[in-house]
Amino acid sequence: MTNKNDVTVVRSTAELPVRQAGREAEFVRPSTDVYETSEAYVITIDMPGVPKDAVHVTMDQNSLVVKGTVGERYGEKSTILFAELQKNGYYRVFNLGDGIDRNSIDARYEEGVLTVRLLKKEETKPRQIAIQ
Amino acid sequence: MIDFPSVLDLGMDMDELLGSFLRGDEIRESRWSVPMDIIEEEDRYLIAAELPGIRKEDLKISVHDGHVTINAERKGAEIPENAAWLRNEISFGQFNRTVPVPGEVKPDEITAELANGILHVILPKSEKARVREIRVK
Repeated sequence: MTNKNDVTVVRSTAELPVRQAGREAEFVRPSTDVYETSEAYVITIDMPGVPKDAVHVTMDQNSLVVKGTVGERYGEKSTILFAELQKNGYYRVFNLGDGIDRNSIDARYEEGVLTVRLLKKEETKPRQIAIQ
Repeated sequence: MIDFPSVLDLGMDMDELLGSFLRGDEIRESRWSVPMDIIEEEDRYLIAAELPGIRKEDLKISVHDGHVTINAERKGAEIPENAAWLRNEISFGQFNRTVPVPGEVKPDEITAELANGILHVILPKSEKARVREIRVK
């Protein structure tokens, strides 16, 4: 299998829209799995608490950007006794190599988990060579 | 098939590791820890837990002696035989955590909902625990 650099997880600290130094970052880097098959790259991202319509996946020539925002969770009259949940949202960038077909991306969001499937270009798929 | 990361990738990982260590968020990515919120509203308490990828049938909630225990199992990703991992950060396995119920509740009216990877356990307050406004005569 070749082209393992077609999906590179970008070191996101430089990409994060962080607030002033020393303050809490607006977005956290979500936990991510990436695997490669002969046809595709499959990216799985944990984004619990993000409603489906607040999940944004954008792709340009060089990168895939995944962003999800968590809205207000509790009513105004609520008192928070204990708080550990992610309050703002998630943000992560992936570099895309030339071997990825930009026209065939498939994203699905279920149970707080985003799955993005990026198909390889026909010419980058491994081929079986018939022996004469 | 063994897919070794390139030297460049490895360098990035070390940097990420160091960065996350310095920010103090290493726990989030190094093992399956389930963050929780406990909220008090006028007539109920709310316990929220981050449980991405968990289905109803993989979840057990029990209430006992003023505590709520949440048991869950996240199954590892099943990938095709010819696939290779490039990145593997999502934790899986058994999880259980017990938190105290913050006040007196009606045990028979406790309900739970699972949506977008967040579990909400809703605990209606008992009459005793509700705050009543006293009108001044």
